[in-house]
This record gives sequence, C-alpha cells and structure tokens, in this order.
Amino acid sequence: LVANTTEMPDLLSFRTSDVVTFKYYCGVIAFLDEDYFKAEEHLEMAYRLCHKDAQKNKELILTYLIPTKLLTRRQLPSAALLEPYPSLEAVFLPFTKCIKGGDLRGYDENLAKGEDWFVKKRIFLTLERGRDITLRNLFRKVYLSAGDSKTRIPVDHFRAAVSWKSGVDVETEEVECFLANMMYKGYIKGYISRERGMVVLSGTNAFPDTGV
Amino acid sequence: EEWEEDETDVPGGGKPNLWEESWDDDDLSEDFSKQLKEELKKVDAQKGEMQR
Repeated sequence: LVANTTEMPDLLSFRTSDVVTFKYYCGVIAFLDEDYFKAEEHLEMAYRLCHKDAQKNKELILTYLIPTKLLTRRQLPSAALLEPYPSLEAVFLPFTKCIKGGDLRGYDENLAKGEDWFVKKRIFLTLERGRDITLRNLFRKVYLSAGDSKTRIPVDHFRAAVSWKSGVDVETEEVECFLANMMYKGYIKGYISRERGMVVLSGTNAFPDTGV
Repeated sequence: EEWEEDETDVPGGGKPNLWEESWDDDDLSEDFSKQLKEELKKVDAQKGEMQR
C-alpha cells in the first residue's frame, strides 16, 4: 500500500505560521534537489503568507527565492523588493546590475566576493548558472546596438564585447563556443556561418522572451 | 500563530511589481554602441598586428 500526500490534512487547517515554515522547508529541499520550479512554488507561497513584520523569515525565504527565480523566470528582484533587507540588498543588488548590464567581470567578482556566504547558504552553484543570463544579455546588447532588425552580425563584434566585459582577451573559437551554447540552450535563435565569420540571427524573436 | 491576509505583503495590493526582467536595462544607450565600436577597433588593431 502506497501512502501519498493526498492523505495529509488540508494545509489550511494549520496555523499560518506553521504553513509558512513548512512551505519554506519544502522549498529549500526542492531547491537543493535542483527542482527549481517546485522550489519556486513552495517559496512563493511561503513568502505570500509570511507575516509582514516577520523580517527575518522573509529574508530567509528570499535568500532562496531570488536565485530560484533567476533560473526559472530569468527574473531579478527589484530595488524596492530588496530595500527592506540590507544584507540581501548588499549581496544581490550588485548582481542584478551586472546581469542587466552584461558585465561578466563584475558578475565573477561578486560571485567570488560573496563565495563564503553563498556556499554556506548553498546557493553558490545556482548563482553560478546565472552567469549565462549575463552573457545572453551582453549578446542581446550587441544585437540591439547593431541597429534595427539587423540579422547578420560579425562574430568579431561578439568577441569584442566579451573581451571588453570580461576583461580577458578571448579567442574567436571561444566566442563561437559561447554562441553555440546559447543557441543550444534556446537563448538565441540563429546559426553561425563560420566561412563568413558571421552570426545569422532569426528575423523574429532572435532573443526569445526578451522582447526582441 | 494565526493572521489574516491583510497582515501579509501580498504583491499586487497597490505595490509596484517586485520582480523585473533580467534584460530590462534602461541604460542601453548610445554609450554601449560607441564603446563597442572602440573595442572593435582594438580587436581589429590586434588582428593587424598578428598578420604583420
């Protein structure tokens, strides 16, 4: 006989404080299991039900909800969300700036700077994956700066951007590798024409889910 | 402890959206394009040196 969760009493029959605690731990466990969509669901509910004066609890929930939403929705906390929590603000606000600006070096520096705390909270690996979003945003900027609906962009342009924003001179092959990875992951729609040294991007929705 | 919904931070209750898109950077100005062109010149210059 297999027991399952439908045999549990309805969550609403428990006290709200217990539900918040329960959902928080379910969320953290799903997070550590790398089941980020499940983690998001639990943590969002915990955050939503949390008493507005329970600063410390909300801070704990957000410590995991922020990296989770970065991966599931590519979303970042706004300054208004972080403002009431100085320690979270100090850690995550610089990150959000780097991610938006495609600042690869800044991203790596922030990751290194907060490493001890990230490892202690077990969010380091998750944040490390956020680097992809930074790179995607940088490539998107290159695309946008090329002008309206330009679909062919020299690989060298991407290379220059990566070298500039990472502070390291990267090889053309390396940039092609980054681009191919982005295409494989569905962050960019297009292909690389190696003979011509060009990236040929899709005429529509070249950077899916980012409005271009 | 028990509390009502109006004692929570329910987003949407007149609050601004607390989450924003990771690519939504308002700074995408001419600065980026300009600086990118500068960086391209550097790349081209390096190439020239290598070929020499």
